[in-house]
Amino acid sequence: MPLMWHYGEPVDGILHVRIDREDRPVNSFSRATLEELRDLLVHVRNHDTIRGVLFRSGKPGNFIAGADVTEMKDVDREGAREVSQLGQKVFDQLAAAKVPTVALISGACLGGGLEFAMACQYRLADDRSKTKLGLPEVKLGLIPGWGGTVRLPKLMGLIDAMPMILTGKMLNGFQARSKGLVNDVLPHEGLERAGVQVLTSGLPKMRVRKRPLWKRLMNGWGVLQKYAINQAEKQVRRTTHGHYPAPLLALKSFRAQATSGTDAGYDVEVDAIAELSGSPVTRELMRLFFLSEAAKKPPADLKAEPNADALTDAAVLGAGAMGAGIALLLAQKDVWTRLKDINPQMVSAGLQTIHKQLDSSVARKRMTPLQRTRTLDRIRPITDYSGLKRTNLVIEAIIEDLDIKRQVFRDLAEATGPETVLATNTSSLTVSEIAEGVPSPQRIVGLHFFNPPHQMPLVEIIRTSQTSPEALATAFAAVQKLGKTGIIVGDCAGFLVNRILAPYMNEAGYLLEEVADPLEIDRAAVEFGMPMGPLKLADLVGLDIAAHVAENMFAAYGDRMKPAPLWEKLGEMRQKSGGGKRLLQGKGKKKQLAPDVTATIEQLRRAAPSGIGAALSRQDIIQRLVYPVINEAARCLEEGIASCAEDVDLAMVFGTGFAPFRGGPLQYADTVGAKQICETLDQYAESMLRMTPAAALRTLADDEGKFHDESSAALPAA
Amino acid sequence: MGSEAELRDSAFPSWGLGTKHELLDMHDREGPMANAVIVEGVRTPFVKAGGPLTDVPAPELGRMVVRELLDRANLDPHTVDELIAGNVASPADSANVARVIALRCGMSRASIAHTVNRNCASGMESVTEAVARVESGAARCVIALGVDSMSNIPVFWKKKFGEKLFAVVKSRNLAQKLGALGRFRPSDFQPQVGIEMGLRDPVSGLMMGDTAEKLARTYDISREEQDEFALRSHLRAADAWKEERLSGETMTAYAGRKSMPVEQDIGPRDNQSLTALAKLKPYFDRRWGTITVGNACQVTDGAVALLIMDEETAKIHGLEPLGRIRGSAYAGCDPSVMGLGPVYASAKALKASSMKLSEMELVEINEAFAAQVLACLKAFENPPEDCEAYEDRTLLGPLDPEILNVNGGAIALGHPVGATGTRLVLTALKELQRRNQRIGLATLCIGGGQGAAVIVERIAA
Repeated sequence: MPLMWHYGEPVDGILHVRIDREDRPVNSFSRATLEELRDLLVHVRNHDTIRGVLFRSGKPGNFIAGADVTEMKDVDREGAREVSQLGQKVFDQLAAAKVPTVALISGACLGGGLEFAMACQYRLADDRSKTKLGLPEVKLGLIPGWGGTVRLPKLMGLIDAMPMILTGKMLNGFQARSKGLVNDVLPHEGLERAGVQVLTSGLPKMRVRKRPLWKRLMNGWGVLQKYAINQAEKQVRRTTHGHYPAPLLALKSFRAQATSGTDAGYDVEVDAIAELSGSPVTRELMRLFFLSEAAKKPPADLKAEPNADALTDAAVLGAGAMGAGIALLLAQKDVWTRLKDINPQMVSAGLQTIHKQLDSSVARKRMTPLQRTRTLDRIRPITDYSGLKRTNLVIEAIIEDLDIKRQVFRDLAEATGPETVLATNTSSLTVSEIAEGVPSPQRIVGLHFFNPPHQMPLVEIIRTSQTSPEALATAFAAVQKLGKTGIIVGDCAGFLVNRILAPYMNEAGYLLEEVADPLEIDRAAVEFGMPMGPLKLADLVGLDIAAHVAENMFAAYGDRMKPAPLWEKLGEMRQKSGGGKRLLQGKGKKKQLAPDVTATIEQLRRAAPSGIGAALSRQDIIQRLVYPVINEAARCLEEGIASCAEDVDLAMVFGTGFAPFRGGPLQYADTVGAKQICETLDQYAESMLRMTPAAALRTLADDEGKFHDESSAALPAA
Repeated sequence: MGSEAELRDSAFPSWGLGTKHELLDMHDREGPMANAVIVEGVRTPFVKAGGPLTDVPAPELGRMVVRELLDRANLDPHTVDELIAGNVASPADSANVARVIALRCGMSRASIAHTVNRNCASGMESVTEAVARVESGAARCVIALGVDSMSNIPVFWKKKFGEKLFAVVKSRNLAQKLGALGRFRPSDFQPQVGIEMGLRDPVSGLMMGDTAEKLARTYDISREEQDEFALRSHLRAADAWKEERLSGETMTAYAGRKSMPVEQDIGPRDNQSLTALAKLKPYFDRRWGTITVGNACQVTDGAVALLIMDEETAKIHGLEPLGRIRGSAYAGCDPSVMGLGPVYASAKALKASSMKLSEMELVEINEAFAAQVLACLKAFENPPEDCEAYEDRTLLGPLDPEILNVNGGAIALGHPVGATGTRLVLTALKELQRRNQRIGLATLCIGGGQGAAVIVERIAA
């Protein structure tokens, strides 16, 4: 019984191979399936009756999804090297086959799957939206190890191939055709017949559009190739700050190919795979990948079913950037969506946001004009509550005002059907206080989207003490439908992510007063692996909003979240001047604090000379910023806000971009050790009470346990 | 992976999905015929062609209004068995615009849809057909739609232009090409305005305005009388908006890429005056005529939808009926006096339902032209010989102007040809409801020499 490659007798000289792993729901390459492919190629070679081979997948929605990640996870360096060499060899044999081969690509064709397809003589893709081609290995801290760094540039040209491999970008069938990655795109049901035709009489005549001259020059001329590679490397270093070795190794392969020919690329690949497999970065990225895959299923203790088989009808209240964004997400998933605001002008503004985003998607060929129409057809702009009776889910994204929100939820309780789940997208209020006094509070949940909703992968699903399991299950299913990662968290000010992030942002305010060079704060954070420093983040969020959040946190959690004096002062100043101005000015080397911020710092320093002084190293800064994060995360665990350490890690990485290669804050804590963190915090606490370690953290430190340790999975309740 | 999901991904857009709503098997049906009721109705604002709805083609206009209708009734689109659309301008990209709209609104693929064209009465035709479908038991839930985007009526090239252009494309070498190019004459470049062609009756050869001029001459209706009637239409429509009598039947339309909200009819002028109207030149008969753009209906974009169900189904969905069609008729007449259509059709409809004009509490006569409505009023009292009311003078008779077009008519609101018929039914029912009255007549003339009339009856809650 074959494991993945099924075939019978050739039909009219053509061997039809059905790719269908018997033991897995998706097709993937393991050592065994590679060896089986090798045997298949021998079979083809030994039979003169076979005049062409046609590969298609037996799994709908999936061609070959890549290498078998579960096998990859446990493989050691030498093992990885061997598998890489084996794959290269088998794919080379495929590429060198004496008879034509064609891959009929429908569904995910990723990583090893695409490397396999590229080794075939022809590739035909279908036009379904599920069809994705790409080499996303970098997302797992790896690079293509079966000739992908060589074959992709050959097909697409170096200029187009580099971003695919360096960022893991994926293409649909049409994009793949225009880049030269597949020969043509067909309707799904026409693939097989076309495949046979290609094998018997070659490709039909078609006009292939030439790449622009500059690309042809860059792709073909050694000097320019090297220039392009150097530029790409600069870009990679700028965005990864050297934390991720994989893209740099991919660049090494390109460089080797440019100087010593394509074969050099294969050797670089093998070495890179050996170096990367089992490295800490790869391990953490893979762990996050598994966590995010696991998060697609509802948690085991959520036994209820959603209120409908499928989310078909929804409404979004509030047509601001957030509301419009959420409405668009829903509409794109074929959900009939009502978008409500209080007057037609505001609704119109929301629709314009949606139009703009759709137009840009169409311009980038991510969407056809027909799909745009289809999406727009699903959005019904309203200023009343008509049609809400039929909705499965209503998401409120209106102004952050408790009284107004309560009123809206009271109205909603009446305007919707008895089973409609009512969700709030609040960030500064708790769900329970909004639900207070609202009839049927069991229908109310929080769905906290992050801004901008179409880009941010995380949605916090907030349950209150009254939320029914059915409502929670509905909300969870909705988040899955939108293609987001949903983490179920408890109800508290800031929920999980913003609560954990609050001490980090606040500490930056204290640090600003203390450090000699304020820009060191951001540099340290970025060096640690954050996507941007806290000062830049504060500017992005808006200082007035940040100040507002800080006040909220202080009100909810007391002294340990008391806003740093600088934040308080700046908050007041900004609110008076109506928000607007930023902390940082200028770019690159000219970047500096805004003059009025510097002046405020001077003023504060004179009023209360700081005891710690300006001699803080980056290491100190990191500890001051990140340890309170871990401390607050420990509190969230002990309060049951997050149900496990894995949830915290996933939420912080997906919600804030917290150093993915470190695996999230609690994984990082386990690397450092609870004991050391606790001791450091104790030291800080002598002069800064806010740093006092949480009970859970102290217990862990005393037991020398880990957040992720099996035995400490259930943390002692405080 | 279900086959449904597979289909969803197929190349052809699948606007609507889901289980087929089972039609009532008409053969199993026992007892009397089904009672068709009008449950809900809504329309877009009527907007002068070239106005803010210019960028909204007919399928989009129809989609908007049908979605609104479904949501106002909180109705699952899969409940709808059939959609019938009245449409005249026939958008070139949607041969059967009804089906396009039905699928874009999420109705079941198994549902059916067709487009009807009885020129100016297309929107009324959709209503009477929908009622007939329900009453025959062939459907339980039908949407009757009237939709036209007169902004989007194309401009055509002459046939000769096309032929010469084709010759240029076909020519094999430069000499041939130059020769072919040389055969163009300036007159070939004159565009054929689609709307103008549409408004000419090809049998009598008269423009619609010419038929109104004929009525004005025959029935001796002066320019002043016409202008006064036009003014009345504007003032009544403007008042109706001020007193929020029309807002109940309209929705807010969000037009085009800018999503500009259109909340009101754009047409009625509260500052319209006799002096302003008097200044306008006659449009059709420039020397001796009386018809101006001021006392004729406006060219307009708009869509109207009615939800029509059998009584039982409405009850099951918890919907309260607005009213029903008590009787209806279409009647033919001389195309050159097509404006008298309402006289012929009203007499026929009243006779068929054993009623008289005097019993009507409210009357809507479409204002194609002021002269045409005024001629109808005179003909009601003194019907032409070939009209059924000629023998039975009690059928029609004088009409109290106070119950005629109380919220203004097409002179102020405009006449999106395929939509107006549906609007008259909607407006009449909503106004009967507001006045707490029971019975009314909605009638219009039809280019080409016909009339349409329906007697609407409100069902009080």
